[in-house]
Amino acid sequence: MEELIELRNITAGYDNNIILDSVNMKIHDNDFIGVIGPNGGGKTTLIKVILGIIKPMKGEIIFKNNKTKNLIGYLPQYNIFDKAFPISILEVVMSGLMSNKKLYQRYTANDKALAMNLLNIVGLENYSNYKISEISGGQMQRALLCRAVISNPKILILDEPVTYVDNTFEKEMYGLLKEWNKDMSIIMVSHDIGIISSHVKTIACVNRSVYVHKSNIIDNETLERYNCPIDIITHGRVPHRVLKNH
Amino acid sequence: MENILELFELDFFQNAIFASVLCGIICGIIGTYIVAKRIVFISGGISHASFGGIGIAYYLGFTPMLGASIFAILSAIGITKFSKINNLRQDSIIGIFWSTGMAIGLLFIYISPGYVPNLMSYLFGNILSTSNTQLLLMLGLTIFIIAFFCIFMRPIYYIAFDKDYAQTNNKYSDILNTILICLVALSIVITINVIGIILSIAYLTIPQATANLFYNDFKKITLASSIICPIGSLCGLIIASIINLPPSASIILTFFSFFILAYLYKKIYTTRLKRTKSI
Ligand SMILES: Nc1ncnc2c1ncn2[C@@H]1O[C@H](COP(=O)(O)OP(=O)(O)O)[C@@H](O)[C@H]1O
Ligand SMILES: [Mg+2]
Repeated sequence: MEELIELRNITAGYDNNIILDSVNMKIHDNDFIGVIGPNGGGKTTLIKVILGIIKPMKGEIIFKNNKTKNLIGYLPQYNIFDKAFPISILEVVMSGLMSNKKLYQRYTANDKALAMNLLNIVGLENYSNYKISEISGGQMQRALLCRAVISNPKILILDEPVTYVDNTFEKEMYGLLKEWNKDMSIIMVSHDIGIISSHVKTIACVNRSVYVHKSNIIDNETLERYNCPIDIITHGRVPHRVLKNH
Repeated sequence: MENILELFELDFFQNAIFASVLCGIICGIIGTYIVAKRIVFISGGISHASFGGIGIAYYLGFTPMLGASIFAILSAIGITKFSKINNLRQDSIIGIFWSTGMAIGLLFIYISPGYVPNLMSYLFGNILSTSNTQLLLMLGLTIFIIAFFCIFMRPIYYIAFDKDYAQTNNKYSDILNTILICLVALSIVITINVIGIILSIAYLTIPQATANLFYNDFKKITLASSIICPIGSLCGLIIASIINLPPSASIILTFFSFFILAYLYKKIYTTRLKRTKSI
């Protein structure tokens, strides 16, 4: 697997408050990294560092291929937008194409077809002209998933993608991710160890430090050794992987 | 009526006419960005803070509008930067810039020796004293803004919608964002000339709200308000000179009447549409 990004000795946080301490991590092509960790452990912060939204205090992020930098798709954890903002679903999806275009370039018929095709896949084909004020949180999340992949990114980053969606779409989404994973590396934050175990290839435990576990199976002892307590209820399929109560 | 026609031949009135139209175009466009991004309150802060620059300019003896521009840009950037610091809340920051700017202006005008400028014209505008230089600057800004928005409409739209996301997939979004906030500041300085510090928000919000009644798309709202705003502005100025009112008041009331008429029209039109449908 080709190496895409390397985080070298990254320390990051807010103001003078350190959230991530000396993080080393590599992201490879076609990997599927499940990011787990307690609330406030720094998962979102880690993602924002990779995306360049937060500048690290120390260390460096190395993009092995300069093109990769602009080829990251991102689904944020919270979709708290200004609901009254005058923008349609189709426009939201197409805004994901910014990285592929010159600033002044207009959309082509092809771009629009690409967006419509994605909307079709997530079941929003009849909503393309709706304004964001006219759809539900779950529908918005689907549109944002389309925005994240429309540029055909090298890396797709999803921060707790199932927060707003129903069970049906959640299942569909994992199917889609599996398909997309053939062409792109995926980083997904999730609280659901069951889901992590059945879909990812690598587990990253984030709690101030980051431990990369090169397998999709993890047990209590390892989690404890990684200082990464997870107290989220799973679907019950893998009870032995849930950390025992203290 | 003859008096009015005579008025049109006077240089100062011609300048006022051009100023009202140019300011209308500038604010029609920039105001849409301000309203969509919900930075109306920031704009109020910038407008009031620039009074500090006017005061210092008076004291040091350079052009007040240059002082206002410097203060406007600095406070625009200042408010944006300080709002990012965690334990500072944005509306408090705006309040600080707003009032401190006014206080600095007041102080420097007070300690300036000799002639005391007419404060009222800064607070409530003085479109009838627009100079040729001011007009030229306005024309320059108008052309720049039109070109900038025509060329970069798409990224501007997305930055206004979701700045964090734009930052992840566009390396120029920071620069564009900074240029936009500077354009906001300069547009506000233009409105200070025309309508005054206290009333400048009118140009940046009422025509846009009117356009928003009919359109729900950023591009269309921008286009519509860049037409409504100069028309309202010009009508306000002409009405003021016919019935001898302060132009600033007249312009705002014209904007307001446009809004009310548009609102009523839409209300009646949509009810009728519903009725026809139900028959
Ligand atoms: N914008 C912010 N400013 C200051 N502190 C923050 C900010 N965002 C997150 N934090 C703090 O950083 C820590 C890690 O947050 P986050 O990365 O969002 O955790 P996670 O995604 O793992 O739940 C938390 O303690 C949180 O309070
Ligand atoms: Mg998080």
